Amino acid sequence: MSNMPVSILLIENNTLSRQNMAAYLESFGYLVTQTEDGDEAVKLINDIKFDVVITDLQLQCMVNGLDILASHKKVSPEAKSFLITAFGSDEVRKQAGSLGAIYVEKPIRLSDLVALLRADE
Amino acid sequence: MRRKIISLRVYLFILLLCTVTPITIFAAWLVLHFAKGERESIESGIRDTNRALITALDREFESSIAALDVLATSRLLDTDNIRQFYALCERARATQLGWKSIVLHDPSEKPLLNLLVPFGKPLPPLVGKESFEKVLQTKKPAILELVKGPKGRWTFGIRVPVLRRGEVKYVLSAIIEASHIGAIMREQKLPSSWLGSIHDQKRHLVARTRSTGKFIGQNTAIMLKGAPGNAVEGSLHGANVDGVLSYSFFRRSPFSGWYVVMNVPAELLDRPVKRSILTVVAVGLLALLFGGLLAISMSRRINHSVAGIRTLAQALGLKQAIGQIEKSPVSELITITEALNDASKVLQVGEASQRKAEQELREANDRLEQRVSERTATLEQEMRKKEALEESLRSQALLLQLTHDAIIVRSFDDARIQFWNNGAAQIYGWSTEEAVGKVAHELLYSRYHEPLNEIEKQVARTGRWEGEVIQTRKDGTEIILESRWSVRRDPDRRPLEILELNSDITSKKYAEEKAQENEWLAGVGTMTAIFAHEIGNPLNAISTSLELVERQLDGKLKPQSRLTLELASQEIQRVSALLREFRTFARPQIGNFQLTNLVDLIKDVLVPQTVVCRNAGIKIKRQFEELQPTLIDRDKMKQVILNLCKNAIEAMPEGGVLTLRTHQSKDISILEISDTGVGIPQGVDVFQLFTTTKGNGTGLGLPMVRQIIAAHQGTVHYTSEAGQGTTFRICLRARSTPDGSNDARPQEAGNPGAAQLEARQSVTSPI
Repeated sequence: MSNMPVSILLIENNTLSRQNMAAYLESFGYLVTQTEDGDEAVKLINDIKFDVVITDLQLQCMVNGLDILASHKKVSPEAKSFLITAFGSDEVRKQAGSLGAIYVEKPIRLSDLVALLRADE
Repeated sequence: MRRKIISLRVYLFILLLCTVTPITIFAAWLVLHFAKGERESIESGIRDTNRALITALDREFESSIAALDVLATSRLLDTDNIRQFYALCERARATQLGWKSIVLHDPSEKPLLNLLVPFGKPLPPLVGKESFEKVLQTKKPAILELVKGPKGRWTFGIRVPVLRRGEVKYVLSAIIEASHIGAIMREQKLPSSWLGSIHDQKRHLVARTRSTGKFIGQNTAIMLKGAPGNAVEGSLHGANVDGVLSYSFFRRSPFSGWYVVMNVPAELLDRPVKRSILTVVAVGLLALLFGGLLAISMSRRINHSVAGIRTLAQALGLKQAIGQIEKSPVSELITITEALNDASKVLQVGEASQRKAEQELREANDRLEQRVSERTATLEQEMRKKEALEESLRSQALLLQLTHDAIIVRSFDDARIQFWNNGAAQIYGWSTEEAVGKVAHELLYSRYHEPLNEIEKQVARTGRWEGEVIQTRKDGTEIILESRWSVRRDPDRRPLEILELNSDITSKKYAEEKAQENEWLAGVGTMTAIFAHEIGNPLNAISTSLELVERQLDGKLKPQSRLTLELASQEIQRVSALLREFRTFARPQIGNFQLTNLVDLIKDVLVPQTVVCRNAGIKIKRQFEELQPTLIDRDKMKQVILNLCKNAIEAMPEGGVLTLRTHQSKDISILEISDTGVGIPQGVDVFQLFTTTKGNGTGLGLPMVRQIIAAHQGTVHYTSEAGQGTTFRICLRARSTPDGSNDARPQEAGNPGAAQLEARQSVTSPI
């Protein structure tokens, strides 16, 4: 596992944020697939088995971050996932927790995110 | 002793019995008496008849004896010329009625002659020796008893002696047919019902009025059997030979010794008596019956009359009109009726005049009554007015006590309380006894929005004042009241008393404040949510950009550039912190209520502050009174206390005293946090969002405190004086259930802003 690069699916509305995050993670050797479309993300999750899913809560489509996390959990129950939001709540935090996701509020510290990714490696 | 009351009818019956009974008895006695006489006369008649019969019989015998005596004296017998004497006897027999034969015997009983046997032929022997010897002895005639002849014919005989020279030469006997005696009896013409009989000396029946042939020769007369031999006369009552109950009377002839018996049926003698008695009894009973009926009818008619009279008398007694009264059959009752009628007429005449007088009196009375009732009505109206007035005063007085508002009367000059109603006692907790005589402002710590002396001036001028006032109850809690004053003046128009009507509007105020606050919070929530969202995303882009740049240029950056990046990052962190606070405020998660001892919680919060305070030269004063455990969201309450303590510490940069005081007033737990700092300037409401007196304040801390306390159904207020310090007072009502109080709902549900935002975002968010 350690020889294979860790694949990450990144879903984020804000293009700058998404690109920054992807570049930052790739600089640490992660294989990042990015999209801003939730429906596409769900399709990707079902097609390719990602090691990690990092998703924004609010998306410009009918699915939101929690739906994506649910799909991901169905496909890879053991995989890591992160929910990022600019306006969360305890309830969202609880829902994310129940789907095995780590809840992170914006603005995120990318260094902290990498530390969390590395935690179990 | 009471006399028995008996009706008229009974009296009449008694009268009837008393009259009819003795008459009947007397009549019966008379009847019996006369019947006895009659009977005696009948009896004497019977005896007379018997005597007559005996006499007739004796005469018959005597005439026969005389006839025989004539024959006896015949010379033929002197010469014993029996043959010629036979012929003489034959001639003699023809003259004598009933003679059947003539027989001659010599004293030796030798028959010499018998007319039944032709002369010279042998003669039958002597029959009736007894009488024959009697004649020989007595030398007097004797009667031969009844004997039955050879041809069955009954005969008797009469013997006479044929005396010659004093000696009995022959005995001459005439044999007479018994039927001849019957003829004698028939001559007497006895009543048909009588049964007469003639018996010989041996008491054998010789003749009988009826059926002689049947009984002849028999000793039939029962009565004679018991009669003594020498009895001349007698009577007996008993059944006769025919079996008929009868009276028998007999008579014996002393001459012949023969008997005459007269048998009369008892019925014949008794019937008249019985009939008379029956008649008398029947008449008596009839009399009683008739009399009884008469008595009933009479008593009925009299009773009817009496009833009429009674009605009359009653009507008279009641002075009523009297109808026609039926005429009574009794003159005395008629008299009474007439007397009553007369009396009634007299009364009617009297009544008529009395009625007239009464009518006049009534009219006068009516006039008087009308006047009286008119006057009474007037008086009653006045009374009613007075009563209504009194009632209204009473109810007003009652209202004073009934109302929940405080009604206070105090003197104008020194403000001492003179009147204190129940409402005041309820609102302030001070009883009437405690309040009266005290100075109102001192007792209630009254705080007005304008200076008191200004208000008093206004009151003295206009006589009225209205406004809000904050006062303190006996238990120390503050209440807001709407106060209305009115002045009572003395005749010189100088203010004498102030009448104060205070309504407790704390709840109303609280509700108003709460409604305002909810509205405000909703607005703020929406705003902060939008703000957080709109800031969060670009901030994230900036933040990640900076980090990426830092990562990409790692080791290639000049120290100055590195510092710049570091400062930018710090600013981002500051905005992030602010954003976090905003998030918390917009989505306050209050609701984890637990029964908590607030004092312990305060002590926990104070522990880390002790070092901070020591360093800042601040002394902490703890005045803790035990509090009733109440439902508290511990984390949020810690946040409140910490926030207030931090504010207090920051308000005392030069050091000072931080006082934490708790006390319980009824079910309200009170926490006061005081500082001796700079104070909050007047006109600043630090509970308003983004209002801060600190250089680095966000203006979110105290609004959050207020938000959290509100979620605990509590209140938070502060008092502050510039340069003297500030005191925050939190009042928490003791609760055992979150919704035990009026509107204890978690604040998150009461903040519609966030929900609105979320709803909007999930559908149409442009972000």
